[in-house]
Amino acid sequence: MASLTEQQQRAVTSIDRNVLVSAGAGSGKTHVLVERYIELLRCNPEMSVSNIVAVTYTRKAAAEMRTRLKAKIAQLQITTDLEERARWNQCYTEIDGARIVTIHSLCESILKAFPVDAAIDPQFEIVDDVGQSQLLRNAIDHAFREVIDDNAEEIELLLQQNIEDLRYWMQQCMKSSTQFKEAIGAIGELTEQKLISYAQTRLKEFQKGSIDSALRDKVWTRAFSYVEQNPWRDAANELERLRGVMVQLTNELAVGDGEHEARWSKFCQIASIKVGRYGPKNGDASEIKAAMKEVQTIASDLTKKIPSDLNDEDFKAFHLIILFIRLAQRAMQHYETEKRSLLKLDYNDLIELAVTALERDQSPAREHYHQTVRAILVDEFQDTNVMQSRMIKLLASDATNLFLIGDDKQSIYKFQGADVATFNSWKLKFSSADADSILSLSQSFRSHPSVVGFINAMFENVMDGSDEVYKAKFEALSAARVEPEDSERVKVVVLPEFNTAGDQLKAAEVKQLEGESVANWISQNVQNQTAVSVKSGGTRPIQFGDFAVLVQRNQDFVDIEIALAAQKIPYVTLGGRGFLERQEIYDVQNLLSFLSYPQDSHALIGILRSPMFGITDDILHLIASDGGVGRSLWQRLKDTVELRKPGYETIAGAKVCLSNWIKDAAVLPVADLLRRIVINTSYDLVLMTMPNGHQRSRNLWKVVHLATENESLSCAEFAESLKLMREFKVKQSDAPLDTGDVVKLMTIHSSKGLEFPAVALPVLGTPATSKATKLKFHRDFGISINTSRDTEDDTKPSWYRLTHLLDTEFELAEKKRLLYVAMTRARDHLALFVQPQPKASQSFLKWIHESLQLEIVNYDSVSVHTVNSARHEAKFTVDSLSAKSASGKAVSTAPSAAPLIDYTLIEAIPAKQIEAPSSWADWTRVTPGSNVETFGATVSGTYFHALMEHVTSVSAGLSKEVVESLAFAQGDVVAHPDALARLVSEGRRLLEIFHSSKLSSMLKTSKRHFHEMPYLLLDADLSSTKRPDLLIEDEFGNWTIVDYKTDKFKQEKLIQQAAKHHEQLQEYAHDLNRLTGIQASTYIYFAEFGVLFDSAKKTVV
Amino acid sequence: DLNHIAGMVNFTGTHQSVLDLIDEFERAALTPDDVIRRLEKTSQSDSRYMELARIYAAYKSELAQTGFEDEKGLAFRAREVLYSDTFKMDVGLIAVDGFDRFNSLQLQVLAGLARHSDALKICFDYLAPEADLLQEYVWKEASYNDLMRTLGSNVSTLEMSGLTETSRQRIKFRAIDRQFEMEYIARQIKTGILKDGRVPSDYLVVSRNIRSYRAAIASAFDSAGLNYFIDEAISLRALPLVQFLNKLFNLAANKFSRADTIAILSSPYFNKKNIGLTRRDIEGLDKASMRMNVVASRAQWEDVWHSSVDGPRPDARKILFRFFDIATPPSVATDHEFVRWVEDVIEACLINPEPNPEREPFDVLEEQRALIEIRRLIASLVHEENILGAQEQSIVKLLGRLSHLIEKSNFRKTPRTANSVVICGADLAPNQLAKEVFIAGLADGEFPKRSSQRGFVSSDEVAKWATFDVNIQNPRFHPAFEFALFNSLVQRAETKAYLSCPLSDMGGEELTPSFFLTEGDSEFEHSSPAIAPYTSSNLAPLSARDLVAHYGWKLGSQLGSQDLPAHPEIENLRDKMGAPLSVALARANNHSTSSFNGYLTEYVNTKAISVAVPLRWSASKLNEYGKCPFRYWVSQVLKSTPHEEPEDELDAKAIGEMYHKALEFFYLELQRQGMNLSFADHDTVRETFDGAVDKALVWLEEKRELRRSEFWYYQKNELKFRLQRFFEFELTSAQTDPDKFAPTLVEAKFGFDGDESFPPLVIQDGEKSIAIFGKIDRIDVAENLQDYPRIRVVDYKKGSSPVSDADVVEGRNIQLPLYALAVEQSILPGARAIEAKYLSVQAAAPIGTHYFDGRKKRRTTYGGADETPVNLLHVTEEHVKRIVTGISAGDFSVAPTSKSVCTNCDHRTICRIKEMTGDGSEADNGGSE
Ligand code: SF4
Repeated sequence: MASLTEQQQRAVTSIDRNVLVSAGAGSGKTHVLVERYIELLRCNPEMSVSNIVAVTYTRKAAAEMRTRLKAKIAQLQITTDLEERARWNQCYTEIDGARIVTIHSLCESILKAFPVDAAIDPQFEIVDDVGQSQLLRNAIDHAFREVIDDNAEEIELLLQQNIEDLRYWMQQCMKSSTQFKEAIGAIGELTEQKLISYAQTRLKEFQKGSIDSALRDKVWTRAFSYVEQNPWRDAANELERLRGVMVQLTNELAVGDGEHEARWSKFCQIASIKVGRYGPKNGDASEIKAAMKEVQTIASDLTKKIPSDLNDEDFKAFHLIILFIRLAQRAMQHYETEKRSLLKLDYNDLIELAVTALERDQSPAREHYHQTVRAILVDEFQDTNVMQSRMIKLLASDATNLFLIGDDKQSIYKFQGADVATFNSWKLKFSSADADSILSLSQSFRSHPSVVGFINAMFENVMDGSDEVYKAKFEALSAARVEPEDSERVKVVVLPEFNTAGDQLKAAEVKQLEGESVANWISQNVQNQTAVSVKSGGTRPIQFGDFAVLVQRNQDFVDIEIALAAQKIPYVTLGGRGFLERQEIYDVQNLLSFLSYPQDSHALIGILRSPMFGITDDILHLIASDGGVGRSLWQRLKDTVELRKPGYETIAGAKVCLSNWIKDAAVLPVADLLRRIVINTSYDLVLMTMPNGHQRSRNLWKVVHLATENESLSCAEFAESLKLMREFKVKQSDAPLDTGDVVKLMTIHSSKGLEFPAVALPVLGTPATSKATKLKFHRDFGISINTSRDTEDDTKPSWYRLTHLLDTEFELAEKKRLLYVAMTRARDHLALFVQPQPKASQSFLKWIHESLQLEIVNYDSVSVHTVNSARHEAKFTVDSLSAKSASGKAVSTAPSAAPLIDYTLIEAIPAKQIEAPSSWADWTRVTPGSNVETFGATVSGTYFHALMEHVTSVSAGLSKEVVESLAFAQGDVVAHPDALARLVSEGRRLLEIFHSSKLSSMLKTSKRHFHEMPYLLLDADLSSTKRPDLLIEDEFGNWTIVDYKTDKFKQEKLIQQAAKHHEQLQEYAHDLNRLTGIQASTYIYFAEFGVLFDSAKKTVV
Repeated sequence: DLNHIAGMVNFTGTHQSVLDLIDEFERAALTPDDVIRRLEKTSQSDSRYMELARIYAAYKSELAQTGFEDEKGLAFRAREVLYSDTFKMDVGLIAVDGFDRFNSLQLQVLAGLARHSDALKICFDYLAPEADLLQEYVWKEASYNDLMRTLGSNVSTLEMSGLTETSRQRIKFRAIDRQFEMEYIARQIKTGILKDGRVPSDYLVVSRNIRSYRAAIASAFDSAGLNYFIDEAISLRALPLVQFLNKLFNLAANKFSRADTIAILSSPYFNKKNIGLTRRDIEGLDKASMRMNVVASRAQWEDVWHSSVDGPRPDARKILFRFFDIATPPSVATDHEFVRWVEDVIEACLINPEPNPEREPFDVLEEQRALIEIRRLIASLVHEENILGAQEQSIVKLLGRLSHLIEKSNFRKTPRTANSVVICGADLAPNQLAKEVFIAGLADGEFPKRSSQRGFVSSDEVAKWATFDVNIQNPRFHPAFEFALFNSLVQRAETKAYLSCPLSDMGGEELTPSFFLTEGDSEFEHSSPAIAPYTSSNLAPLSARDLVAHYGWKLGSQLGSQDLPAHPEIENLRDKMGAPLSVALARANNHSTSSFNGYLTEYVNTKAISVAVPLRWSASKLNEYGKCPFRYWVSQVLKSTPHEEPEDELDAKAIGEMYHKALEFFYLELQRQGMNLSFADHDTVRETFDGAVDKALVWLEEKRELRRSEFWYYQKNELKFRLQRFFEFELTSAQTDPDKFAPTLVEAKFGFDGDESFPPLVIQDGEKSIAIFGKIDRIDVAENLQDYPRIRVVDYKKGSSPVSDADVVEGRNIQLPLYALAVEQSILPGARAIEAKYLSVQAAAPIGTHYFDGRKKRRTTYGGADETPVNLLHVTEEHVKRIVTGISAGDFSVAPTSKSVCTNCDHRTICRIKEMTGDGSEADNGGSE
């Protein structure tokens, strides 16, 4: 464990207690996890991997941890101590099955193991997105209809709210049902009274909180102390009176006791103190006035923002809220029942049911895990939501050793109900139990010291140190890498505000410029061979593959993509989920719709216009406009082709092609059909040549892949399913692309846990708060709805305003963390692309501006600046662009000189055709049909052989049971009683014949005989198994090989028939002789006639 | 008498899960009594485990009653017999080989046999732990010990060493996805065959789970021109023939839905002749049923013949319904009866697949085998009934079982060429040496594969059972099994073993290379990046496609200008691609004036094509051109809309019409009674309104093509409800309306020929005068304070997307301004249109208002209070001129006046706007919503 720092060491070895580690970005979290896991095993010889549960955030992370562990254990196996070795050997084999999983698959495994305890079907499946959307839609419709139908109270909702909105809200609530239920829980009992008092309390708390924070506020205290200590010389002046009032009120507030109402109104008074007009005009009083103004502003800002009390709208709203909850619960009911009947679970169920299973008293599941699970390690703990953390609590017994590691500053999954509050509550619980149980890893092994320094200074300014539970406490990182400071490492690229003509740039222009400057930054660095550090030490010149461009939303990609493409910079956009909206997918859908239903003219237009055929619109216009009412476009197209008019050649081709495909579509599995079409049309190659070509041509193949996965869907059904998925806004990811030496575009969210040598952060101006929705729910404050008002004075419900405030605070806090995540991805180089003027009041851009105090930097040249915060400072370079930024030279990819080409492989390898049997047995019925069939010869043949096998020398007669069960054993052909009967009688007949035959008497007298004696011949390398029907040794020791034939033919044809089989019998005889030296004569037994025929002598015996 | 597992006894999955458990009991040679006794010993008498044991007991006794044994049951019997003293058998030698593991039952039978033979020799591949450095055999350890225990006393073991490690090369690589992975493999193999004189059988290609590779293999090997055979069971359902039969069997259950019926009738598998329908009949049925909105049910199919125009011929009716009869199963039936029905249907409706020149012989053979398989399945139903005795079941149940059987049946394809490379799943790989072995998909979680045991045999439960001294641990699920399997695969390679893994799967999820691949090398992912696509395709192309792909991938749009090597196949391909390439480029380079993008002016000028110019223009059509010329072209010139199967759900059109009707009736009635919303007594107007709504509903119900679904009752309520909601809104706004607008005309037509009550609106464009017709939902006249009547035109919208003045200015939406002009000019000459209002019935709210008299806007509940000084009416006239010129000139370019018009446009999938404006990544904030 040499490779561990002292901090890490502590985190690893503290296995005697529960530990919560806040691990800063790049502080070797995973390394510690692995080591701790090993340490657990090392120090508890009796412990096996099955006693440890490790929870990671993604499957990828789980996989990585598992492989790392395995590698580690593999090393430990190398020891001379046999016991040790055996031990690690066992761990080594078991690690593949070890519980190193995401929380969801953990729950899934619990449910699979203990379906009983969750009372669910053991064969349950996870519902897919389409399925879920369908279920949700139906459930909601169902609820609406119910309400309208029995005119329930909820109908009021439908009257008041836009029904489509309602529908949308309900979907939201049901998709994140867990959070919604939690929100309902927050309110408690669902009555309006309850809601009112609840809201009032929350409002008071909030007011109180903000008064106190105001009093604590730095500016306030500074200003106030000035006000307090500088009475205005002229006591008679109103100014002095107001000052007095302000001082008195503030001091009273500072005491802190007294009725809240009273305090609040005092606070409001302060907010209303206006000193503008008072005091002398000569400006002597300006300081004191300024100071007072500062205090007043702070107060009034708050009083403006925070509602004083509930209003009438609130009472309407509360009513609505209750109705909405009822309505939603109705829908949820239906959703539940439907899901259950289909054996489906959604992701919320996984966790909730697992919790239920573990929670119920004397739950065998819980008992089981408490016995087996001795340690639980949770990674990315900051993104665990309440339900999940509850589940972990349940899994752990008092004896279980907990290890929770994460970085509250990187918690960015609010929308999944995760928040820092959960993290902090555990922190509290642990530390109260044992102070040493809270550890931290604050050394960044990832980033260059200058980058670390910058981030520290920046975020000490941005993340306020407040203790609120939903905020992350800022903790500085320290750089583990020792490298000289370098202000070039962090670049702030300031985009121009005006174009060369000096007028304001339009938003679109700015975007374009931004894209370009990102592209420039990248290509310049590559050209200048900027150095990046290598993990193993030393440096190398930077490549495209080292760059990541991180943005907040997918729609921010497009301008950057265009710019990169323009400069021929190779890039890949990761996590694009717009697959279903791609044109090439439309094309496939249209194609399949048409092929399965040629009347679909609209689809046909789509295909003809696609590059697959590239029919120009004038031709379509012609075909469509020359009459032919009521005839489908396809019909008309065929007619037109008949006419052989000049100019129609292109469609003649198309017609031939399509007609063939229509035929194929009816008889080929859809995947095969598509594959053929793609290969024949080379559409994938065509797509390569279009913008974003790599993606598009791969997407085409992805459809083929999807088709294969849904093999049981017909052509039409598959097309339909594509359409459905789109309707339900199912997100399908694009086909994977090369992520090698190419610039990576991704959202900050998807960059979680990754690191890149160079990171560019453009599009920083997006407002940090999303626009207010009419419905809000959160476990912290419950639920609020904004009423719709037509009244002139537009007063929102206070409760709604308050929740909006709260929500915004959460959101801002989270967005700050998001920015933190973004910046901490950078290893060696970080570039921020900023506009000179932040538009939105709260945005990444705004924060950067404030923190770096950009307004004071001069924009005209490249210059080095310093960012200062209370405890940190760091240098960074500002590089400002003029409107006409010199766009970097396009990286040339000149086609290499034509190489010598080896054509030996180009031809397809001709198929050596297997001679296809003319036909397999065709359809014969199981049940007697219109005309009674007799069996094929094969059936009665095999049956007779089976019978003969049971004919022994002792008992010539076979019991009824045997005869029947043998017939029965002939399988599906004779499943039906009638058929069975027929076969049995057939068998009887042949047996009759047999008993009066020579063969029968031969058997009776034989010394011994073998039925169907199998033997294996190995000649050179070809082997063959044979089994002659019967082998008899008579009392004189003469051997005979007998073969049964049940063919029906005219008896006079006996000789010819026998001749057919002679060769085969010869072989038997020959083989027998080779194997045993026995000379055997070869007989054929013709069952129909009971004749025994000597195939050698060609005579009847 | 179950209570621990009572909660789930009725789940279908439970039964399967119990059977799995019973199977494990039997493998472990445990009789119900054994299990129960051990549970009692460990005082589990009252636990779910005891309940399961009792189920096991019950199962056995019931089986016994039928007089049958399950397959393990036979072994139990054999064991009895072999140990009974009465049984005599005398064998010299019993030799056992080919077991990679033993279960207790097998061993006990062997032990039994041993009692009757002089010698028992068992060949078992195994190494003791201390010798087993690679831990290849740990998974058999239990098996081995069991073997020793069972046969122990008189076993002498003799060690034989296997063949020593050959000098085999391990080649590791990664590819972007499974397909590229397979393309690389295909390249190796093709090279080997064509250059090193290898034969297909020299190669073994495996992956742990072949399913996820099927698409990749087929695509890669097909493109490479290699013959291959994927040795893996496929779902019967994958065969269109079976899909056809399945549809057929369920046709009646699906109430003869139009889609299914037409699909069946027009399928090549359908025996038209036998049923007596011609192709024309079927086309007729299709058309007519489409026109008559047939959704499902015989009743609706009847309607097809009520439509006079070119419906199907009368006799087709009789025939169709005879077919329906055939396809209708008895509602309850015994298995025998059911199977008989199935066979009758097949006999009557299916053309037996026969080899024919049109088709691949092997495809046909496959279909024949599929049929035989199906026969086997239904036979099994009959069998079952023979054994358990006949009992009637609902047809739903029977159909369910049949499709379940089809679902579960494992159907194998047969190799089609003698020289194909065999590709199969790891556990099916033939146990023989191959020159080169390819093991694909070595990703964590795939290979090694995680145990998928769930329910009563999940590893947790198995562990639990062990604590009751019931050992049902199946070595097959031992964690080390996977490694053993992997290793044995590698060892089948004589010269080279290729190990590979894709970076991510098609679902976009990144994959982590499995430990089998990395062997603990933490740098592996960095040191072996994915092989770049088509790397050597230009040097030694596997096909013309392959070579072109190389350049296409590298050069993108410049591919066109790249001169490709001269080779017949390549030139060939190039010619084939020529046209498509130019189209692609033309669009990509945004040639808004190209005939690929609807711009047909040149053709019109050269008279190559003509655009029909109407005498009178429809206002709404002009409006559509205003949104997007191409959109107009497709809907109005090509007259094409996306194909929608008729639905039970009321379609938007019907709903819209119904709303209009209701309001028409209502306002007419008001006028008749001389009432006015702003002063009438509420209750009476409400009554009148409800009256109107009911009337409208009746009107709607009388339309033949209206489909009443089972929800019709609710839908009616919802329609009512929405309208009432709207009415309340109308009422309030009427009262608060300062201008006291009063509805005077409803559904006012102007310029309709045939109905000349009002002349068309005429707009002069120089010499040309443009005549326009249309229908105005409602015209309100304000309480008159001026000397001229001030009017407001109103339009009811079903949807609720807002309309703003900007829409008029940019020509996106000029409908109401046009109407306003019409009113002033032709309907109420002398009146002044001062206002136009769009009302959404759905949302019961105004969604847009224009003021034509420059009044200051009042506060509106919908956004966009944009003050536009421009004269909207004038602007509108200009637009009309522009539009008419555009249409006549054949300018139908793909040019939406704003993104918003695209959002709910029918032609999104065919206009290819995205190719002109760069394929935009769809809005979606990386999960942060
Ligand atoms: S989607 Fe947009 S561009 Fe395409 S046709 Fe419709 S409106 Fe025009």
